[in-house]
Amino acid sequence: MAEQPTRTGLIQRHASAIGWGLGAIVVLGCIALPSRHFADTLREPELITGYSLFGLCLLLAALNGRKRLSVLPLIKTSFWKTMHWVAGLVAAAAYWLHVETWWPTGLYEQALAALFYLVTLTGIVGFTWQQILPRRLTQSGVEVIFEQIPNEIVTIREQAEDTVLACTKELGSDTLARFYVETFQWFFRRPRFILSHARGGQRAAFWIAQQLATVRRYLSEKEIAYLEQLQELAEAKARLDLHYAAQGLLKVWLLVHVPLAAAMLVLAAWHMLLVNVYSL
Amino acid sequence: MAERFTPSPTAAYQRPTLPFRCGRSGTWERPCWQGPDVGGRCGGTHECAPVRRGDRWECRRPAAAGGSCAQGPLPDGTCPHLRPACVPLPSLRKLRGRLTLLVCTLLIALLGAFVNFGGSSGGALAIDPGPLSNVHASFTSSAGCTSCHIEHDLDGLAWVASAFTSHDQPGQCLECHAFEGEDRAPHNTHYTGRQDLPDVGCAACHTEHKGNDFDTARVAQAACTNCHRADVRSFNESHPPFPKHFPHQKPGRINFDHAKHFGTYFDPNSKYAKQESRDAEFAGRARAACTACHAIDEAQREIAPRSFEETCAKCHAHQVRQRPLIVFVPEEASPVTAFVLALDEDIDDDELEEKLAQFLRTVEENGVDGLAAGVLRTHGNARPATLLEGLSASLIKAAAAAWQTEDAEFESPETNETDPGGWHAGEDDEGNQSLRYIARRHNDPVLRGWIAFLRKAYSDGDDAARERAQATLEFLLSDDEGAGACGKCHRAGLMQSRERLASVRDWRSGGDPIRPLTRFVHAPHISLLGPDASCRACHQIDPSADYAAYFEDPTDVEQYQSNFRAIDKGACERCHAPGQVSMACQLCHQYHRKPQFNPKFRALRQAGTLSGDEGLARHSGKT
Amino acid sequence: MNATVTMERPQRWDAPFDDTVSDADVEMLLKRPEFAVIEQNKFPKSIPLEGVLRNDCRLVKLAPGDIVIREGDYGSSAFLVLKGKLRVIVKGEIPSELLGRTSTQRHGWFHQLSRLWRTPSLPEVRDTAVYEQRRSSGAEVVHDSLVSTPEGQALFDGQIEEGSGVMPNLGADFQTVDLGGGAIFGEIAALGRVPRTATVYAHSHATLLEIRWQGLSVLRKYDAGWRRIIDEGYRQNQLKVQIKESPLLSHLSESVIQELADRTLFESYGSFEWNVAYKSRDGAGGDQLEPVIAREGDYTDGLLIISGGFARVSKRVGNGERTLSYLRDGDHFGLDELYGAWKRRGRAPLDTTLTALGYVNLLRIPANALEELVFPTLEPPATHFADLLDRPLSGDSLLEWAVEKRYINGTQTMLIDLEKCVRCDDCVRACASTHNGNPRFIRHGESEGKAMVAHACMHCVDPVCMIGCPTGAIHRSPGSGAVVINDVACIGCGTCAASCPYDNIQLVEIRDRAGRQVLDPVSQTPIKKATKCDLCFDQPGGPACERACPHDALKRIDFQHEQLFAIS
Repeated sequence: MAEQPTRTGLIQRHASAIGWGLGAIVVLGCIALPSRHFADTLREPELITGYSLFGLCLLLAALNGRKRLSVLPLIKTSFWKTMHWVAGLVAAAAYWLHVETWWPTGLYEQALAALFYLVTLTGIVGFTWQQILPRRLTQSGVEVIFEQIPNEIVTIREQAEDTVLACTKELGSDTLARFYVETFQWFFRRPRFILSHARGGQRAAFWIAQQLATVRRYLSEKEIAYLEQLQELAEAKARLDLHYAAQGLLKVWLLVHVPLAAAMLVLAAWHMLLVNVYSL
Repeated sequence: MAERFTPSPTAAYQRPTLPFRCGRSGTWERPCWQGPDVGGRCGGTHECAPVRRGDRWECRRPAAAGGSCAQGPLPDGTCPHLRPACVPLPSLRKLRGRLTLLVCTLLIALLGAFVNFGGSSGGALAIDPGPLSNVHASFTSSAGCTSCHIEHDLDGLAWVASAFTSHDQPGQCLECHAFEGEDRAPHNTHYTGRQDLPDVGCAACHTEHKGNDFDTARVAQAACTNCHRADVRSFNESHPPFPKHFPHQKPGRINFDHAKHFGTYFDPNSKYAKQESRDAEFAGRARAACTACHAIDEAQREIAPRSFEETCAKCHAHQVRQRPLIVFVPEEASPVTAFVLALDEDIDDDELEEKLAQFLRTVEENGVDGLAAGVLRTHGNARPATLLEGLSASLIKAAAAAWQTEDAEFESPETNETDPGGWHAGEDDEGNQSLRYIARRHNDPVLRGWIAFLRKAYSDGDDAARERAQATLEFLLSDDEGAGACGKCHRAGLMQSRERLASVRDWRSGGDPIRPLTRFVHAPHISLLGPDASCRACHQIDPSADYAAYFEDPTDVEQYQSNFRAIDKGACERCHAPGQVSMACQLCHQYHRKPQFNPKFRALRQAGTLSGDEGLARHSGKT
Repeated sequence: MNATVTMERPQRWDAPFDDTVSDADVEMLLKRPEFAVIEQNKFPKSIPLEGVLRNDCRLVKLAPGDIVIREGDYGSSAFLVLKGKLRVIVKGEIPSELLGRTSTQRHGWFHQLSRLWRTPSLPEVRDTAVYEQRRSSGAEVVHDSLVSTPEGQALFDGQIEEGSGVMPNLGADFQTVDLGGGAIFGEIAALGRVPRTATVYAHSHATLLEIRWQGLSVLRKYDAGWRRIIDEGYRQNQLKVQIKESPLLSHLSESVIQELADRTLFESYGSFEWNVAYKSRDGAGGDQLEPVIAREGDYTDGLLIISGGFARVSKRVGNGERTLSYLRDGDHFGLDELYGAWKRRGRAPLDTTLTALGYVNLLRIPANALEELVFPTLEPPATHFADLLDRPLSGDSLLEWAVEKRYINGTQTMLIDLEKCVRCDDCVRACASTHNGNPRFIRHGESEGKAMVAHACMHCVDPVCMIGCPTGAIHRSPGSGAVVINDVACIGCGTCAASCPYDNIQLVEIRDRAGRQVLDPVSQTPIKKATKCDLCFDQPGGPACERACPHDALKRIDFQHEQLFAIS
């Protein structure tokens, strides 16, 4: 017999979040307190904060490694992912402890700072998209695999063209066909209104409705039946476009985040080398 | 949701691990079912590869791609469904890998291109952590990074290897900078009993490469409280109280009793008011304001009194001329004579008479030179020219001759009433015969010379000589009998520092700077509180102090009681408190003892270059 | 790509059950009464009786104390006792460590790690050399002995006499039933795709004929006598076991249970091979597919206990039927109404409707038997189906959908929360990395709201895919219970893929190690193999897909424990 799960207390429900929060505070404390001690004893606190920051960056990069190691029963990737963004926030705090200024002097250090900011920013943006976009995808009412979208668009396009041709052939009027060539042929060619879909806008639906309203006054009753078929296809295409835009964003942001992170690690290693050569 | 069109259910496995996808998907045509091969080449232009069975060719398109086609293959066995070859596109994952590789390679290439070793000018872009402060940049422009970073001169693996060895960075700073005391010790001071204190590197407080306008001397307040954390966090709360008797722990060099002067000597109703030599107008002014004697115009830590002529001379000028320096008394072992002739204290009369006679004979014969020779014999460093300045040969010969006679009387020639100073021989006011010198003015060079000579003899001589010198000095500098009344005021300053060469400083007012790490500037306080009124805000006379006690025996510093009450922290806290004037440590304290530059630095500066080679050579042996 | 290579297309009996069945053995068997009465001409030419005996059977020799089958294991063979005596333990439990359950060997960590560099870059690569060897199919069953350890020996009353060839009795806690020559057992598990219902061990030296279910189903299909034996035996054994294990009735004494069993009726609804009709109607409902067992408002005359399959409990709401719950093996229906009627000495109509999902076997215990034997000592039931009506309608949409689609069959249904899934395909990559670069599921499927059931094998309670596999390549792994396909034995006939109601099995064209497509030399068509999710049964750590999802969107749900609300 299926039953609803019983309600648990506030702390139990948020136990995971509380745990991560405490863990982050502990880690940050383990960085901040020894570095404060170093500062108090006239040693270099940047040693502690710097190496900790680099260690954190390596831990962040290790998510990539973990994803490739699903063959082994290591800790669940979802745990690693949460650790990744929590560690990212700790790293941002450690960065501030280390650098203590918004913008350093020296070109290569500025480049490193810029890379760190960009990586953090793209990470936050990507994280936000991962919270927002799946809901939008689900609410579109259809589900399609990203790599299948070209196939589906071709199918819709062929169906649309068949519809228009059938209308012309059976009713002898080319109004719909000419209209199609002027408007919907462009629309069915490839994903359209991508930016609007990415922002969650309604431009596609609006455009479709407008075009249909425009041509409706020139069509007979029977032609309107074909127009309605075209409408259904256009709306289906719009849903596909939404998937293209949203799933595309969900994939493409990593093409910015990961290379930048790799570059940041390279430059951070260079920085570590320089500091050890010149001042330690 | 019932729709006429739904995405077709996916019929076969999706393979996201394949590195390439059909190029047709990039142009929004229908991608082929084969897909590219793993090498990234097009999967084929034909829809299927027909197979011959018996005498017929059969279509072999898989079910997932639509199954066998209706037409079937052409009679010659080729598939009729052709499509143009595509240019396969990399999958997003592959693209990401390529981008990562590209970005990293580009970065490494840029680093390699903009890295410059070997002491050239300007920071290499890939290394430069920021502009130098103007002060450092100006003289390091020729040698570049190697001015301070000798590692910069290494190349290749040695450069990388230097990351694993530690460097003596303070040593680099100390190539040019120097301090009084120990360069690396905290506060440049070796504190006895504190062997536990580690050396403090320059980078502990100072930093560079923070921009042209950065002040390298500026140090954060936190640097002080790092070590003094347990003691000082903010001035009013936890700065330790000022030492007892601050700032008058050490006695000054001049015996000047402020309390007596303000209380008695300047009092127009005291018995001293009627003395002729006393300048009543000046006394009145001095009583009213400290500025009558102290020059606040040059107010630093010490506010020195004005010169003798401007201040003390108003009442004491005549005392200088009152007491002569008695060099020689016939038939007696006067202190100076005893010293010059190295006479023992318990010499018997006959010997004394003989020595004196011998001395007189020499003097009669050689005049001043004889006397000079005698002086020189006692101590090679004496300057007879100074000690005997103004002494005429004729006078001394005549006197020497006269004193060899029975009655030992010499009649002094006519003296100048208006200028009673200088050398005199003969009868003095008390009727005694002597060779004596009377100071013409304050800071008389002859008297100074004699005292300096004695002090030097004391510090350099053996025990016996020292004893003699000490006795003579005591005589010369005694309060009531000392020649020129020098000792009346200067005795303490001169007798304190027996171990040193007589220096001008010991005659002057003030004391040694006993707090090299503290600074106090009167000027802003005076300008805030106003001259005259502001002195008494902190410097208050302590009527109960026994100021004179110390001057009995100036060697016993513990006995010293200042005329003034100690200044305690509360006086400062009235203004240096939270929300008011700054309480920063560095307002009143400094870390270094006398920061200065190495002579080597000055030489290099003059030469116009600071070579890195020298630094490298010097440090090549260090790890 | 166009390079091809050929390989003989595998046939049904390429890999016989056992190589050791000789012609003499087959002759001996054909002489036995059980086989002598069979009309051999009823068997199709492609599967003659002789062929069944040679290829789908094997002879098993047992020593006293050897365990033949263990209660709870999955098994795919039935047994015919040829010689000797066996004992079935009907009451009492032997500790599992003495039973020695088989467990699957899982690969070690280094083997797993080596996949990173050993994975071929082409899809569906196989080592065709292995195929040539034609090794036998299925897992090998090792017969442990009950008396191999002192603890096992202690279970028995007394010592085994050397040379006697007969085991002593088990201790007083146990009750056994003897099986002699001619007895058939094990067919329930073999045909019903359910776990073994009892432990059977050899009481004396014995020889058995082990018939794998492919052969058994042929015998059942083409011979009436065998059909009767199998079906009756099925009913008898299932019935009694079911009553004994029902929490309602297990407290009753043995004699009462026996009397109950005698009065209980065994009923079947729907078709055993329900998947065929299910697939053809494309998931739509209908009376033919869901026969009504008991209707709301009617009076019932007996308690229904489900003994196999699934049944839906529903109530009329508006113009439709609202699913309240689904019942499976062991659940009962109608108790509230019957008990209430008995208490009030009246009659009560049914609150809810019961329909068969696919097929259902159930026991009907008549009301008078209940009133005589059970109700006097029964605790009043605490929960009622009608209580479930308090739930809001919207909260049930997932349940309705899952029941309608028959996802309730699944013990490892892949449920993806579409509001967490970012469509990154990490799950597919992980599945591919554990299977030589080939994913074994498709991240797509039916969805309801934010829940999507992907096309990944659900490892059903009732795996209908196993019906019809000619070689036994698709079988239950003895250790883990997962439904897996032995790639070597699979002949690519596609029966399992066609049978699966959820389209979770894919046939793939294979390549050899050089990357060439493997073709059948005669028809020049590609050789195919059936593939599906195997739950990573031979790999450490279980399913890689669930581990790999960075957003906890993918879960393997066991509908038997109603984890439906895991994502709601």
